[in-house]
Amino acid sequence: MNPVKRLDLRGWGTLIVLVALTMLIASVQPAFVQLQSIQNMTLQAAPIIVIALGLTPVILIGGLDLSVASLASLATVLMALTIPQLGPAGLILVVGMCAVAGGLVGFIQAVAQVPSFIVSLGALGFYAGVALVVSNATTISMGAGQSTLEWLGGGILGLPVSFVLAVFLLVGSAIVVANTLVGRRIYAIGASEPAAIVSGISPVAIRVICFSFSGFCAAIGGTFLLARTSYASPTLADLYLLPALAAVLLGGTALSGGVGSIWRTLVGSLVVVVVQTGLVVVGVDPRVSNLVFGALIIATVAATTDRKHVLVVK
Amino acid sequence: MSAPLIELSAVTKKYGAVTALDSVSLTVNRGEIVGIIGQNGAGKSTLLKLLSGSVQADSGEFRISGAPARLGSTADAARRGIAIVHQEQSLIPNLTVAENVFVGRSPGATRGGFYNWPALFRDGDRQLAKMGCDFPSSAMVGELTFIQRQMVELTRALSLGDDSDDHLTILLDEPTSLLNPGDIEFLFAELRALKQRASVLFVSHRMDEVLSISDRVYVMSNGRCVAERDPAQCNEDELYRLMVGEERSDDYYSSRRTSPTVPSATLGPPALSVSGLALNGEFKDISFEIAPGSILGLGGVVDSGREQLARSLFGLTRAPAGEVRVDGIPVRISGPRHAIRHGIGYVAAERKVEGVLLGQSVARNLTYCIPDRISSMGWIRRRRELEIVNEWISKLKIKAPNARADVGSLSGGNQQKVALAKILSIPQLKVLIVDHPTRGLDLGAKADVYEQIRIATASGMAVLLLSDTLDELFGLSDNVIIMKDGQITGRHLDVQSSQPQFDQVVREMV
Amino acid sequence: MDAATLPDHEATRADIKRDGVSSARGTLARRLENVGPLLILVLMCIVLSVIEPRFATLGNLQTVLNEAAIPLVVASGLTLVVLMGSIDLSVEGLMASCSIVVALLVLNSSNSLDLGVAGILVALILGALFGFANGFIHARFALPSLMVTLGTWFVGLGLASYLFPGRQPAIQDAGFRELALGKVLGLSYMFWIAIVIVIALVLMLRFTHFGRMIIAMGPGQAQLIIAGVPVNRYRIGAFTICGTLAGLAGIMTTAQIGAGSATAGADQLFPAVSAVVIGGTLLTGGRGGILQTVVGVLLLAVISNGLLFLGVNPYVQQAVIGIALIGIVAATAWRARRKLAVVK
Repeated sequence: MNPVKRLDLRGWGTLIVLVALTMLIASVQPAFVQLQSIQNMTLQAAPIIVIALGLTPVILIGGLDLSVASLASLATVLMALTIPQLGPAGLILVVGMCAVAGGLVGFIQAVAQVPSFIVSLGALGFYAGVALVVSNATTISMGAGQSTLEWLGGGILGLPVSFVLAVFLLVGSAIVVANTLVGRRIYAIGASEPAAIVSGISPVAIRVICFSFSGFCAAIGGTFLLARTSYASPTLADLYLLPALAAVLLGGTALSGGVGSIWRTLVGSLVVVVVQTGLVVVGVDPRVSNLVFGALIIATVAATTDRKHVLVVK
Repeated sequence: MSAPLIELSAVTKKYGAVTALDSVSLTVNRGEIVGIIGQNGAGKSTLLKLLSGSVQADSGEFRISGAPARLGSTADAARRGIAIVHQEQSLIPNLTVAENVFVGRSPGATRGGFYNWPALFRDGDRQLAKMGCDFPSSAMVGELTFIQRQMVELTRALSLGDDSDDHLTILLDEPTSLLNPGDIEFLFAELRALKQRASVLFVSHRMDEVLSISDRVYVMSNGRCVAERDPAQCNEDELYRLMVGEERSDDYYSSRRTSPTVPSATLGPPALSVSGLALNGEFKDISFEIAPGSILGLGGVVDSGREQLARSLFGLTRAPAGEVRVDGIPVRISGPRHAIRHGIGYVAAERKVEGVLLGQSVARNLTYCIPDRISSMGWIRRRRELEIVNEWISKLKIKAPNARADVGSLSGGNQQKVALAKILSIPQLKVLIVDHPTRGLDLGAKADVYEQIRIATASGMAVLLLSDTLDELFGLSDNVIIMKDGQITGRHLDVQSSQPQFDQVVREMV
Repeated sequence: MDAATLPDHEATRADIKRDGVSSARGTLARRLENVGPLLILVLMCIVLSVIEPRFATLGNLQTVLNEAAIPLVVASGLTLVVLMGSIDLSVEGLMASCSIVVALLVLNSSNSLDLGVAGILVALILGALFGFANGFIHARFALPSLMVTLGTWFVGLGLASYLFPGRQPAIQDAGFRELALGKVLGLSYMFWIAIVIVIALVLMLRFTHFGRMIIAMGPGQAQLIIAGVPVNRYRIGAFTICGTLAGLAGIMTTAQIGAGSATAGADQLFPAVSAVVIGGTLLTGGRGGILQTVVGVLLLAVISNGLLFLGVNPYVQQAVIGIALIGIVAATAWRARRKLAVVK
C-alpha cells in the first residue's frame, strides 16, 4: 500500500486505539471512566488540545513550531501582569500579541527561507528569555485578577469550561479549514509547494496565517493553565510541547505535511491524555508516556513517509 | 589492426514506448577525439549513460577493446577505463583538489584511515602536472574558477587510467557550456595533448566546437546515428540537415493549416509585448510581440535561455530588466499570483512538480487559480465549484473516476489536461504560456492538448509555446523565434504559409 | 535502473553566469565569515575588561571556562551532525537518560550499586546506543534526521522518567563528584575533558578519512554517493559520536549537581544550537567546524558573564540570543533564496 494511503487509514487507527486503550484501562480500574476521572482528564486535556490545535496547520504545511510551549508560558506571565490592571482587555491584548508574534515568526521563516525548526527554536529562546526577565524568574500570583478567569474553572454539563471551549475552538477551526480557501491553500502548500506557488498561492501569506494561529492557540492554552493554577510562571507551560506534538503526530497528521486533519488532532490529544492518566492509574510517572510516544512517532514516520527515490536525505 | 577501443553495434535502448537509441553503431579508436553532435532528444545523453554504465542496452553489442562489456555502474565503467565528466559539476567544493581527484578510491596516502597529507598532495600534484595545471592540489575546490574545476574533473578522469588495464576513454558531456572562449581554447589544447593517453568522446550540441576539436564526427538524430564524417571535409549545411533528419509531418497539425479559423489581423495592442528584456546570466535583448489569437513558438536547445525567459514572464525568476506589456499596459510581474491577476497563465514543463498537486483531488487542482469564482468571502461554494469542475472535465474530456479522485491516479495525459484546464479556467487570461506541454504524452493526449490550444486561440488568447520538437513548434505556431545562448538568433513569421528550411532553423539553434 | 543524478547546480551556474566571473565566491568574504565570530569574542573580552575590572581576573576567567565545559561537549557533538547538514534534536533526552543511569550506577542514595568507572562507561554506552539508533534509523530508512531525533528526544525523556526512582538519587561517590569539583590549574576536570574532546574532534576532522567524509557530506553527499562512497556508515558514525557526547554531558551534569536528574538536559538544545550557529557553522553543512563552535560557546559564556557584572538581568541574554540565532541563520541563507525554494 502506498505510504500516503497508509496515513489515511491512520486517522481511523488512532480512534480505534483510543477506544481500545480506554476500555483496557477501564477494565483494570473502573473508576477511570467515572465522572470524577473524566472531569480530571478533560481538564488536563484542554491545554493540550488547544496547543496541538495551533500546531496542526503548521505541521500540515510541512513546518514545525517548537516555540508554542514557551510562548504559552510567556502568555501566562503577561496575563498575570495585565489582567489585574486591565481586566478582560488584558487577556485579549496578550492573546493578540501572541498571535502577532507568531505571525512575525512565520513571516521571517517564509521570507528568509530558513527551516522552521530553527526559526521557532530561536523564538523559543526569545520567549523564554522575555518571560524570565518580565517575571523576574518567579511565579506571579493572579490575585484579584483571578476573577476574570474564574469562569474557565466552571462546568458545562459536568465538563470543565476550558475543555468545552477547547473542543469548540477545534471544531470551529476544522470546519473553517475544510470549507475555506485558506484551508485549501494550507493543504496545497503542504502537499506540493512548488505547484501551489505556480498556481498563484502565496507561501508567505499562508505561513503567516498558520504561525499566527499557533501563537493564538498557545496563548489560549496558557490562559487555561493560568485559570487552573491561578498563578503564572515563566515555565508554566514548558512541559506541554512534547505532548502537543505527540497529539498531532499520533493523531495521524504527517510531519512532512499535506496529509492529516484537525479532527485527528482531537483524537490524538485524547489518546495522549488517556495514556498519561492511564500510567498514573497504574502507578507510573506520566512522563514515561514520552517513551512510547517517541517510539510510535518514529514508527509512524517510517511507515508513512513518502520516500520517492530521494538520493540525499539529511 | 587492433580492435577499436570502444565499439557499439546496433545498440538499442527503449524507455517504454520511446526509443532513445535506435540501432546505434559507432566506434572510438585509441588516441582519437570523436565528436557527437545532435539536438535535444537526439539520444546523446542516453548514449553517455550507456557508455558510462548507468543504463544497459536492450539489444546490440558493446565492446571495450574487443571484449564484451557488461557495465552495471559507473564504478564498473571506471574499472574498464571509461570515465565520464558530467555537465553538472561533480566535485565536492569543501574538499581539496587532491581529495576530489581520489574520491571513492583509497588514495595510497592513507594508512588505517589517517591521511598523510604531504603524500596525498604529492600524488595530487603529480596528477595535476600531467594535465599541465598551475594550481596546487591542496587548493579548495570551492575557490577554483570554473575552468580550473573542469581541469580537476579531467584530472580525476585521467587518474582512473592508473588503476585500469584498459586504455582510457573520457566521455565529455557538454563540457563547454559555461566556458568563455579563452577557457575553451585552453580546454581544447589540453584535450589534444591528452590524445597519447586517452581517447575522448566529445558530446555537444555546439556544432562549431565539435567540428574544431574532433578527429571524426557522428551526427545523431532521433536516436539514430545518421552519419559519420571527417570534420576537415564535411559540409556544414549537410550536417544541419542530417541533424534535423527526415521530419514526419503529423496530421495533428495539418488540420490547423486547412482550418478556416485563422484569426484576421486584429486591431488594438498585442496581447503580450516584450522589449529589451534581459536577465543577467540567462538572456538579453529579447523583444517580441504576440497578437491576440496567435501562437508564438519559442525554439532553442537546452542552454538557450528560453525556459528562463518563459518563466520570467510568469514571475518565477528574478525580475528581468526591460519592459513587458500586457494588452498594451506595462506591467512588472513580481510573482505567479501577480501574473495571473494580469492575465498571464503558465503551464509548467515539470508536470508532477509544478503542474498538478499530487495527493490533491482533481476538483481542487482545477480550481486553485480561480478562488474568487468558487467562493464568496473566502467560504467555498461547493455547488458553484462542482459546476465549474464538471464543465472543464467535459470540455477537455478528462478521464477521471470522479472529481474527488486523487489527481495522482490519473494518466499523464489526463494530468496535463487538468493542469491546462486550471489555467484555461482563469477568466481574465490573455496570455497562455505553455512550456513543453506534450512532454511524455501519448499521441491521443497530444492531439487533445493541441486542440485545446487551438480553441483557446480561436477565442482571442495569445499563446507562447515552448517545444522540444521542431515538428510541434512549426506545426502549431503562427510565428517562431529561435534562441541561442540567451539571445534571439532567428525570427520566422507566418510559418503556416511558408515553412522555413529546417536546417536553417537548426543552425540558429546550435 | 535509472541513473542517479547530481543535485541541481543551476543555482551555481546561474550565479556564475550572472556574476560574469568564473570563480565561485570571494575568498575575502569567506575569510571574514570564518574569523568574524572570533573577532567579536576578542572585542567583547577587551571591552568587558575595560568596563569591568572584575572580568579579567583569573578567578573569573576560570569560572567562565568551567561553566563552558558542558555546553562545549554538547555543542561539539552537535557540530559533527550539523556539518553533514543534519540536526539532532534529541540531545536533551539523551542527557536526561544518561544522567539518571549514571546516578543509579555509581554509589548513590537510591540503591546499593557502586560501579564507579564501570557505571560511567555504561552511561556512555547508552548515549552511544541512542546516537547509533538515531543514525541507523535515519540512514537505513532514509528518514529526515529532524523526524527521527524528534522521536528519540521523547524516548530519552521517557526513559529517564521510567528509571527515575521516585526520589532524586544523590551521588555519594566522591571520586565521581571530583570530576566537577576537582581542579587542575583552577579549571575543573570536566573542562579538561572537554578540551581533550575538542582537540580529538579537530584532529579527526582534519586527519581522518571519516572526518573528511563528514565534512564533504554537507554540500557533496550526492557526489559522494555517485562516486561509490558508503556514506551511510559515516552518517551513523557521526550521530553515534554526537549521542555519546550528549551522554557525557549528562554524566557531567550529574557530577556537577551531585544528583541524577530527569531534567538534566532541560533547556540545553537551544544554547547548543545557538553556539553552533553563532560560531559560524552553517545549518546546511559544509562550512564551519569544531573550533568555530568553541568560539560560539565561549562567546555565549562571556556575554552571560559580562551581563552578570553589568547587573543586567541574565535572562535578557536568552532573549537576545534567540533573535541573534534567527538573524544569523536568515542572513546566511539570504543569498540562496529562490522563488520556488521549498524550505519547510
